[in-house]
Amino acid sequence: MNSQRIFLALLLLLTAVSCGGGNNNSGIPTPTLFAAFAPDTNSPAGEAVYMAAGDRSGATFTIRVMAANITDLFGVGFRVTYEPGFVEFVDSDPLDSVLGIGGYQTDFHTAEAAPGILFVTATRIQANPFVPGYDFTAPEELISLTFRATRMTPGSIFSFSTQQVEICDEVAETCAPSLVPVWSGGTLVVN
Amino acid sequence: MITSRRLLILAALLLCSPVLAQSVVYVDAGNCPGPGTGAVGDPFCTITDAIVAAATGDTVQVLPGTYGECVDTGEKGLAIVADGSNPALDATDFIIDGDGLCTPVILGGNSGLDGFTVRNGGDSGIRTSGSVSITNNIISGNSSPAYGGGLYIVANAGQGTTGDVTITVEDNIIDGNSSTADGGGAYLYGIVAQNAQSIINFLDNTVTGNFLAGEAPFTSSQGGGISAYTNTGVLAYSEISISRNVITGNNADFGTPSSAYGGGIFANTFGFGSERIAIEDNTLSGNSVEGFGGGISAWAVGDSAVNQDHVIVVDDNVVTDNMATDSAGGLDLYIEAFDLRVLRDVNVQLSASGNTVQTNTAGSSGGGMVVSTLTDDNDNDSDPDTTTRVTAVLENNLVARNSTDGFGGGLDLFIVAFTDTVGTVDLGFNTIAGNIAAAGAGGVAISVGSSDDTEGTQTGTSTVRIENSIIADNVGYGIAIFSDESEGVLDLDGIEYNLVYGHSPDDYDTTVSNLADIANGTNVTADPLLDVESIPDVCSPAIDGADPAADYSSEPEPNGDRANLGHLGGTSEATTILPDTNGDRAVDGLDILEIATAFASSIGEPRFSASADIDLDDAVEGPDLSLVGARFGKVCP
Repeated sequence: MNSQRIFLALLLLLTAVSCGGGNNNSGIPTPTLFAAFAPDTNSPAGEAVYMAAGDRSGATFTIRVMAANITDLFGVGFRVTYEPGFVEFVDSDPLDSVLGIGGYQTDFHTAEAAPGILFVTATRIQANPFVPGYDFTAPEELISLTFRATRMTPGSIFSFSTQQVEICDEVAETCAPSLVPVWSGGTLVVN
Repeated sequence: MITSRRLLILAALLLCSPVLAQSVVYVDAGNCPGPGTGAVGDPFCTITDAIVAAATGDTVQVLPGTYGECVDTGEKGLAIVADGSNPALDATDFIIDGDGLCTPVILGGNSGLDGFTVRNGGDSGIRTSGSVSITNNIISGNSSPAYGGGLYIVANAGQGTTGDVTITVEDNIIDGNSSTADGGGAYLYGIVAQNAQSIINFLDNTVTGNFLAGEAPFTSSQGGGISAYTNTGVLAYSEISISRNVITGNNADFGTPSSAYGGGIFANTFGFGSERIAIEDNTLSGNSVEGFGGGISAWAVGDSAVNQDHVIVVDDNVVTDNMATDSAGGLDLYIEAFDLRVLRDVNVQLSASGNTVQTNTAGSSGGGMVVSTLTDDNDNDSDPDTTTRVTAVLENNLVARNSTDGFGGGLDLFIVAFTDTVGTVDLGFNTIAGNIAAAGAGGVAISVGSSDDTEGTQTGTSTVRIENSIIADNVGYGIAIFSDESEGVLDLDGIEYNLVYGHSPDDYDTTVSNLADIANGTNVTADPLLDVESIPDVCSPAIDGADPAADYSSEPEPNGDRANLGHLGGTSEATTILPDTNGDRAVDGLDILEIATAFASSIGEPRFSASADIDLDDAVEGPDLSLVGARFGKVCP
């Protein structure tokens, strides 16, 4: 290899390094993605379960599933739908969930049932003596969900489907899915 | 009274003849030409010298080396063991070489051989009589002009002075041996007279690359790897257990078509007393036969001139990639009975359960398996009390991805029932999937051999029951009758609660599709949703699809209180039901919520929810939540 070829090889190497992350296996540099999630509703007035923007870093972003203005909230079950061509689910985090207040036993589950459909549960677990629901008006987190953008998009919809809120009344010692709050999602922008 | 002079003489004898006082006699080829005394410091040069010097019950301890001799314990009852003091050594360091002429090792009653390589025998590698133990040896490159290239094991119980006999062949490697009659690798013969019994335990051996090339004066070749026979007198009992062995790459041939049986194993009962051959938990792969039964050929044969009890059990074997040029690429199962009488205590049984029979091939029929019955009854009196009946039972077998150039890609059932007899093949909880046949049935082919006996007066009855099975995605019909016989001879009114799906040209041929059982609706046509291991998905219609009367108690919870279809149906490995509390075919947060709110409640309490009680134990507890959690996210179409 002559000096000209060595120089050319170094130049290509430096070019690749300077482009930073996002390289694919072909060696062709790809641009780094920046994801931003914008919720449909930031301050719901009535009983609501809604998505809020959490931390983000490059293509990775977190959606905080929040609730507000609910009496005797015991648990929620819902599906999040999104466009799998633009985003993939990473993991969930229940550590800041309001359902854990009081030290009650809880259960959190997430699973991708199909591309673009994430099943989520965040609930307390009943016991003897009776475990009450939680009363609150200010927004509280139920669970946070972290995703990663995979392609640029000017607007990709996140929404709830097949959702349910379970209310457990400590006075009557009964539980029922009687509440029908407002559910609202949001839009992802990736550039 | 022993005088001091006599004591002195005895002491001198002991000093001069140490063997007489030893229970261990030592041999070392490194001490040749010897001859040695057998003492630890002065071992014999040959094993034969040690045997001559040893007394009954002694141990002959052999040091590393090659011993070119033909060892025979006679009637002494000796343990011949390879010296185990150096853990770096193994059987390859202790060699008994027959030099292509003799039998390298002949073991008499109560003798054992442990830890040797036995090779180059010209008349089998090891021959035995009486109770012996053969463990941890390599039996390789031996040949026989007759039976048993590697091992020739004959129980001979009850003969002469021999009483009961127990033979153990365990943890050996038996490879590259050959014979011109049955048992290329090993010949096991449990022959018993009078009221004695013989037990042959053939366990945990590796039997590979053995070859049976039959020739005259023998008339057929049986058992490329192993041949096993029981032959008993009226009051005698013989049992052979062939278990946990790895049996690969063996071959049986006779040089003419259709004259060889059992590439891996051949087994046959044919005596007058009680006999049992159990072939269990073996792995058979890559065996071949120029005839029938690439993996196993097993024949349960009985003739009730006297009381007899003949049983062959073929359970929990993995039989893959075997080949038969004629029929039965994997398993060739045959039950034959003549003149059985209810009033006599006669029992001839053949059963196969829990086997995995996959990717075997056959030339003519039965890519996976052939099941044949033959019954005859010479009195022709049509008296139910004297009707000869036999049943071959096949349960919980997986028969998948086998193929044949003929018919019966998975199973070929062939029933011959002469006058006043009933031959039955009973299939329950089997999975027969992905098999290929060039003609007729890709799944299950049913044939009737003959309806008339030699007198041409009456017909026997051939009965086939197929229940609680999955028959899917076979190339050819799912179930077809490959016979000219009418349904009056072939009783097929026992095809119920099966899932039959995905066949070309159709799931049933015309004859089968016209049966009342097919029309009555218990058989289902739906995709069983099998995975690559032919296990039904939790969403499969095979789940909880069995006859409601079938036993489901062994299925893990939640089992829906009803057994599944297919080879795992009714077993502890059955697929559990979808833990779906609200019946929406999705295991999601709504199911969790129902359990969460009813948690820690029992039946009768206000919070109890029957639909949240997934495991049906009348309480909503941790196991219910775990069951839903394990399937969380599952959606059935």
